[in-house]
Amino acid sequence: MRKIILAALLLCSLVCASCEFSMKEPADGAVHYVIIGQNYNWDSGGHLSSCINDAYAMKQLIEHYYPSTVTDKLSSFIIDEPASGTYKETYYRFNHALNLLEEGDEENHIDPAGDNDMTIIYYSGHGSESSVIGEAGAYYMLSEWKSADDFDTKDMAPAKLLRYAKKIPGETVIISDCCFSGGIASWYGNTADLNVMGSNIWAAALSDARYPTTSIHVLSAATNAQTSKESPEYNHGAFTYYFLVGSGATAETAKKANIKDSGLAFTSAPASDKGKIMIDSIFSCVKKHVPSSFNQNVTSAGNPDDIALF
Amino acid sequence: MKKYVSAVLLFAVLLPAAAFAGMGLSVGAHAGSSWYMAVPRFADELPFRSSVTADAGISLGVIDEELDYEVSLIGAFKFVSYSPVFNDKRSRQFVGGGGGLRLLYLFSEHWGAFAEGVLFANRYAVDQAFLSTQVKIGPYYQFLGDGDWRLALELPVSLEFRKDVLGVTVGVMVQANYDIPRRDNV
Repeated sequence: MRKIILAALLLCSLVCASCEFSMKEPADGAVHYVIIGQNYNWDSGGHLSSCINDAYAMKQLIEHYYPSTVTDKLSSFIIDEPASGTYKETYYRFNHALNLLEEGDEENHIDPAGDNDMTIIYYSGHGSESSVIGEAGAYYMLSEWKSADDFDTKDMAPAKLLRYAKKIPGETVIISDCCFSGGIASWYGNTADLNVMGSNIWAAALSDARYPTTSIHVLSAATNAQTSKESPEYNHGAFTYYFLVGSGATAETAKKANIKDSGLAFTSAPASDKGKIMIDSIFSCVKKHVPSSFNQNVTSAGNPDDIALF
Repeated sequence: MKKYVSAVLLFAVLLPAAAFAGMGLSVGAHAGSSWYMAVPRFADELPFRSSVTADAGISLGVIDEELDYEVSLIGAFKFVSYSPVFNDKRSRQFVGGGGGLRLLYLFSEHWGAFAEGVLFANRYAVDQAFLSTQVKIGPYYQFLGDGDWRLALELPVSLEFRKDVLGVTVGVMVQANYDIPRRDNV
């Protein structure tokens, strides 16, 4: 019996040998962002009015936690309110921002992102489901509002975005507040088909479990079968509003319209988990607060690792 | 996967048959805890991330007349905690439940060894599911028994096969069994 007790004590002491306690943490890397907000106000449909406000608020949130991003040359802020259905500027600027992170800009003496850096890609705008270009059920970040038959290579499909994101050194977090945005998780995530999310995730896991690449983390406003809503009450998308509040923005300031560069005030973050805002903790916070009447489920890819956003 | 399920189902059919054939039945329950090392199958700063598990389960099996061995169907449940945050990352917490087979062989009145294999369905807190297979072996020490009851301590070592992570655990488990028919020598 004594031997058993000794063995049990030895097991307990193994916990003290955990790598987390015995190894030195690497130096913190830099944080970069690519933020895109696209409003749509023209007559042919798909009216969106709070996406630019979403983008401004996210920029302030990231700059609040990472003040160095204010002067970061790799960070890009892209807002747009296209005046017609032929506008493609956002797509090209988005491409350029991702290329800059991957390759830097030798001419202007800008180094690419480092291996220990984190890049946050945030998108607020239209998303649409499509069965064209060989990606059935996938969503598209639209460079313009158009019918499903008219998607082309100028739209950012999940596979394309992931191809870009995989080339960016370090960790990449993709946060998207648009319709069908769970498509990026389903294209990439552990469970694969999130059409069944909320009803039978086991069936999804059994039917097609994918192997995730763990340097990319995904958080999206809806599943790939749901639309994402904005509300005049919040002046934001519901997902983005609760993301902001969960991350420490005060509810009063987060609700402001035309928030621009300095409208947000901050308090202690409800989603904080031992001082860090992890993807899991902000996921739980947003999931808990987005009203069920919005009928949208926040979605994350099932990486084995959880990452600290702030 | 199909072979695994078939083996479990076959055993479920054979279990009552074995009981009718004169073998004893044994009903059991176990609970314990383990140190869980998540060895990544992808690039990470650490060779493994450490978590703690809480494990529990029930079993129904057949025992031979001399109680040299026991073969059981088991239902197992587990909770694996978050690892400590290191370099702003941590291993995700998950819960799992599953079923499998367990073999126990007793070398002497008190000492034995066991092996079990369990197929788990697991769920992260971010509403994502995944499957894993766990193979567990370890020594068995029976420290209490009165003929009907057996109470034993086990030190299981296991490998859990996940798509992206290899889980290695070392733990302590208490196993209780109620045997039918009654044992005479404990």
